[in-house]
This record gives sequence, C-alpha cells and structure tokens, in this order.
Amino acid sequence: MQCMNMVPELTDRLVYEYVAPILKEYGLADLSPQIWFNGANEWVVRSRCEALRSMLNAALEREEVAG
Amino acid sequence: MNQTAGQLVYFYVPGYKPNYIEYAMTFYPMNIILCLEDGTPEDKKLEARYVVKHALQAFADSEHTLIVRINSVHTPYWEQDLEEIVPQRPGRIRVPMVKSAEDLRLVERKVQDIIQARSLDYSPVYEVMIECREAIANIASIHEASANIHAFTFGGTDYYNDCVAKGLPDPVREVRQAKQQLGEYCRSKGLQCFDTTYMAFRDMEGFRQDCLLSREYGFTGRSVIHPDQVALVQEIYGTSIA
Repeated sequence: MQCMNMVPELTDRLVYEYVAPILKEYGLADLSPQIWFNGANEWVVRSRCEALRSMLNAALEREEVAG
Repeated sequence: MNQTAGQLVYFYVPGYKPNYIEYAMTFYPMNIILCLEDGTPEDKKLEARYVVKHALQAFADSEHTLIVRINSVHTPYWEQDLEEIVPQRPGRIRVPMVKSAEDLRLVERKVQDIIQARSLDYSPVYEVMIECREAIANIASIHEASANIHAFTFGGTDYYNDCVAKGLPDPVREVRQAKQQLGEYCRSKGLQCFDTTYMAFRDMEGFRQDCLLSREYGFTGRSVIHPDQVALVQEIYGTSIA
C-alpha cells in the first residue's frame, strides 16, 4: 500500500497507522491501493473505503456472471 | 408564534461533499438535508450514498435533524439508497418526484421490508416532494397513501421544467398556482408545508418578497442553499400572519 500524506502537520507514520487499519477492515489493504490522505476524519475515510469495496464487489459479480 | 430554525429551515447539503456536511454541523440546530438526488451528479451517486450513510452514523447524536433526500423511484438508485440509509435511522426521509400514491407506497414498502429484515427499532417519517402537475392532481391520494407524512415540500425547478416539457404557455403562472394549491391543501389538513429553494442567494430582497408570498400561500418553512438565507426564513416563517 502506498500512502501519500498531504498534511504537513502530521507525520507519515501517524497517517499510515490511521489509514491502514481501516483499509484492512474493508479488505482493501492487499489490493496495493494508492492513498492520498488530505486530512479527512475517520467517518469520511470509512465512507470512501466502503464505496470502493461496494464497487469492487459489483465488478467481481459481473465477472463471475460473464464467466 | 416564535419558532426556531430547527422547525422552519431546511438546509440542503450535497451528499457527496463530506466537508460541506461537516460545515453544516457547525450551525445552530436546524434541519440538514443530505441530498443524494439533484445535489449529487450521476457519477457521484454511489460515493454519496456511503458518505451520507457514514455521516448519519458519525452525527447520530447531533442536535440537528438529519434528513436524507433519496433518489426518486423513477431512477435505478432509490432501493440501494434505502438499503444503506434506513439502518442508520435518519430523522426523516425526503422522497422526491412523487407523482402518485403508488410511488409513495413503493418507498414505504421497501422501508418496512428493511426494518423487518434487520429488526430495526425505527419508525420512518416522510417529507413528500411535489414537483409535477400529476402530483398536484393526486395530492389527496398521495396523502392517504401513508400515515407517516410529516410534510409536503414543493420542488419549484422541477415543477417549472415539467410545465415547459408539457408545452404550457405560462410556466411561471403554473408554478404560482401549484404553490397556492399545495399551501391551501396543507393548511386545510394541518400539515407542514415547505417551499422550494431560492437559487439567487445573493438577492436577499427578492428572497424576502418570495418568502412573504410563500407564507401567504400557506407554507410553514423553507429549504435553503446558503447560510445567509437562514435568518430571513426564521424571521418570516417564524411569525404568524395577522
């Protein structure tokens, strides 16, 4: 996972430790995501992760149906 | 009558903009409408759905009343909207482009299915948007379609566009007549009735005149799109007509 910290007031490590568990929770950490962190609160990060997870699930279902 | 912004003012926030939602939460308590419909572009519909879902969770204890405007039953989005937001127990659900009683029944059936499937402790309350001539003609049957209607609200832009699409010669007059009819109906039934947004938010005198007329028609509150409009809505709709 690549995490680009766009908030100079925060350390890269802090951002990584903040974002990585949420990505893992939504099954996204192993997909080599590129993250640009702009200081979003946790509820926003979660909403982005769940939206992405939903899109990926829909794409996987379409692939399975298409064979 | 001296009513608070929480009873009169309905502040629209685009559902796909979390920073706008967070900003709205800093205002004094009022009704915040998290919009999944016209305030959200097509390519942001899915993203907005999850932003609104998580906003409802994050701000569940807020003093604001959080209302979600779902997509209309005439779109492919409305069922998934309800699947994600109903479990978060929004304060009210605003249903756009209701043309007939069956449109509202569709929503109510779906909401009840979700409540039962997930054993939710939740009683939905609806705000029904009247946005076309068909809806005005069906207002009584729409009202009878649900016991959970808190208010009717008027969608002026879509109503105007409906009149233009039907080739009516004077859409402005049609909108005015529709507002009179809706206000009169709600007044006779003791229902709340909220007027449409006024998009020219820098024209405060024009907005003032529009609010005064709206109140005469029977509207009891208003949707706004800019913080500067809040105080004027509270001033005008918060006083009784002599």
